Parts: sequence; structure tokens; C-alpha cells
Amino acid sequence: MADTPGRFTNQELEQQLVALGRHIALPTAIGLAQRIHTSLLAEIGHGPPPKPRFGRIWRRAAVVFAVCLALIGLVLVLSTGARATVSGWFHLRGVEIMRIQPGQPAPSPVGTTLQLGHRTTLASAQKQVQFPIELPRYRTIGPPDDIYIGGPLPGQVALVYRARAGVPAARTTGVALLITEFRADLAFGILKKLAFMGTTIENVSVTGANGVWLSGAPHFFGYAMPDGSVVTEPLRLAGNTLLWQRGAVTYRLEGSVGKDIALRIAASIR
Amino acid sequence: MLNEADLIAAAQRGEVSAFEALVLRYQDLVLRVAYLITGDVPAAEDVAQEGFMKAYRALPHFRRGAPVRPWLLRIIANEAKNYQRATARRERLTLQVAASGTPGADSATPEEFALAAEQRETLLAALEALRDDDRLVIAGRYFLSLSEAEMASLLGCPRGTVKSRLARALDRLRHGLECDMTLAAPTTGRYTRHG
Repeated sequence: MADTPGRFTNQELEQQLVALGRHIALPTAIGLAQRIHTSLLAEIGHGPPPKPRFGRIWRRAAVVFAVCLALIGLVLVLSTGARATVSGWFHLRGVEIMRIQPGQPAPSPVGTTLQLGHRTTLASAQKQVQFPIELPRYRTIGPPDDIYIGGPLPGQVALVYRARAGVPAARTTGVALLITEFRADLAFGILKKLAFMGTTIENVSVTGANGVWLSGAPHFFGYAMPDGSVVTEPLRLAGNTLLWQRGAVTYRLEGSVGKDIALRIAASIR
Repeated sequence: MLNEADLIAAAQRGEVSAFEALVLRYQDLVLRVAYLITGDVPAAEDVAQEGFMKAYRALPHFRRGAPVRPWLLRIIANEAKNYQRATARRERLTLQVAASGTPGADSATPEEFALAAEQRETLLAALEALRDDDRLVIAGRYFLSLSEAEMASLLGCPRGTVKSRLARALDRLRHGLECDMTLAAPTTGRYTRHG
């Protein structure tokens, strides 16, 4: 066949087809996303969103539970004085495990995915980071109930507050307020994507520092890390979130509080 | 930045907006795949919508870390085939060249532009003469630029079979073109010939 006139090689034919493909009229989705949005709302109205994969989540819950038990046992053996603290810590973790019981939708990335790093003290955390850890002085908020360091972003300090006067706990987590501090720049480029996903975004000023107030459906935010990389991190409580940056440090406040209270708490951080 | 794994994980937690972000990302691809199978735009829109809803319901079974596109393509292809089975009326896919730009848009001279347009029409005519499954293989691979793995999902066959089906489809296309050129040699000798 090599001498047959008009014989094309596969490569030539493929090139021609790719070139043709650039000119072929193919439909473009118009209004499809809106129709799907309506269908999804109807679907959710008829029942809960897809249930979690019980097999895998149960396995994960079992692992978390076993680790919790082992740690509690260890700490109790080592120090009876630590009981109060441990029970407080277990309260948090306990809520996480309860949350993934079958039949309960999983509305927010807490629990096994809380991933705030390891629990520590303020003094120890301060030794591990190069910026001064600031605490809110808002009214009677007092010191945080727990302090964590690490998590997915290096050098991230997390202050965890349980419910107190004026600051109710989120129903699902038992955590009222989560404040994280770390060296990074806010990646404002991600705002467009968040808006796309239904998050309401409002520019705010926290005692003169640029910030954003996210409400509606905030789930992620992006940060430009000191090494130049941009990373996203899930928002832990999936509640309203206030982000602001002062100098090289980014602050994040998550909780069930409204914008005014969040801004007041933020302004008191110094 | 926001990657697919984040979106899938959020969608699996029941965050509808994350799933909708995936819809926006893939709606054109999904619609076009559905169109290649059903040959009809309104049908493709119905298939795409129902396919996305099936994908939403199937989220709990999505293996975390797996690629989204092949998974979605498999669901859409099944949905399109179900649709065809369920409806007696079958449209045959008509591939058309979109309204052309002006001469010079992608060719150096008006002559080259005219020649390229004629060349496309000839190739399109040869494609039109192919069986539906041959056209689906060729259109998926070259018009939608699907990878072999994605083609395998679309066709519901192993990757090796994709290769052989594609090779056979190209053979038949080549044969059609050669017949066409033999019949109309004086005016259609525009492809590079080997001899």
C-alpha cells in the first residue's frame, strides 16, 4: 500500500483531525449550572446530602478513638493532676467522634480533620514561632482553653475557646472561637474563587489592617507562605470567618459570632 | 490554590457549593461528551444535567485522590447510553465546521485559507460516512482531546481496547478519504501523498 496515491500516515491523519477539531461546532453549556443548582436544592430539600462513607469513616473514627484512649490512659497514669485538662481535651475530641455517627450529615471540617497540630502551652508555642503570639483582651474572654501548634501550615498557632459569655459554642463542635496566627500573607487572589462558590465577601478594616469577612459558605482560604508558595487550608469551623493581616502575620478568627463581635474581638488582639 | 481534591472532599462533606464549582469546571466537557453520544443538543443538556445529579449522588463512593474527569465521563457516558435506550427517536450526530473567521485568521493567504476550509470539508465528509462508534472514538480523542484513560471511561472498555478501536476507526477514515480522492482526484489532491 506504500505506493498507493493518497495514502496518509496515522500521524498526518491525526494532525488533520486535531486541526479540524479546532473548527468543529460543539455546544457550550448555557444555563446548565443554574438548572443543576435548582435540582441540587430540590434534592437537598428531600433529604440529607450524600452520607459519608461509613466504612472508611468508622475506621478513621476507631483509630482516633483508640489514640484518644491510649493518650488519656497514658496521661492519667502519669499525672492525676492532669485529669481536668484531659477531660476538657477529650470533650473536644469526643464531640468529633459523635459528629460522624451514621445519619448525621457532616457539615464542617472538624473532628479528625481539625488538624490543628499538637496541643501545647502558650509559653512553649511562643518558643517555637518567631512572631509574638497575641491574645484577645475582649471583655471577659479570658485565656484560650487550648493551644495547638503545627497543623498543615508550619508554625501555625491555634487558640481554641469553648463557649463563654457572649460567645456561644458552635452546635456541632463545642468550639466557640478558633483564632489562628501564622506567618503568611493573605492570598487575596482566591477571593474570586470563593465568591464563585457562594461565599459572601466583605472587605473590612481591623484597627487599620486590611481584612476580609467571609460569610455564607466559607470553606477555604489561601495563604502566600514565606517561601513564596500559595497554599489553601480549610476553615475549621465553617462558620463566619474574619481574616486580617498585620505585618508579616496573618490572623484568622472563626466562630459562630457575628461580624461586629468578631471585629471587636479582633481589635482586642494585641 | 483550590484543587480538585479540596473540592471533592468538601462536596463529600455535603458542601453543595464545592460540587457546583466542579459543575462549572466540567459543564462544557460533559455537555459535549453527551452531545457526541446523543447527537442532539437538547438531549445532551438533559443528559448532562441528570449525569451531574448522578455524580452528586455517587459522591460517597468516589475514591479520594482518584481523578475526577474519568469518573465523571463514565457516569455521563452511561447516562447518555441509558437515554438513547429509553428514547425511541435517535438523532444522528452531525458534526459541522463552525462559522469561519476571515481569511488570514489561521492561514497566511486567502488561498491557503480556502484550501484549509476545503480540506476540512473533505475530512468532515469522510467522518460523516463512518459508523457512529468510529466517529465517537475519533471525536472524543481529537475534538475533545480526551486522554486514553478518559477514552476508556467514555467507551467503558480497557485502555488497550481504546487503542485498537482508535486504530481501526482511523483505518476506516483513511479508506474513506482514499476512495473520495480516487473519485475526485483532479480537485481534491490536497493531502500530502506518500508514494
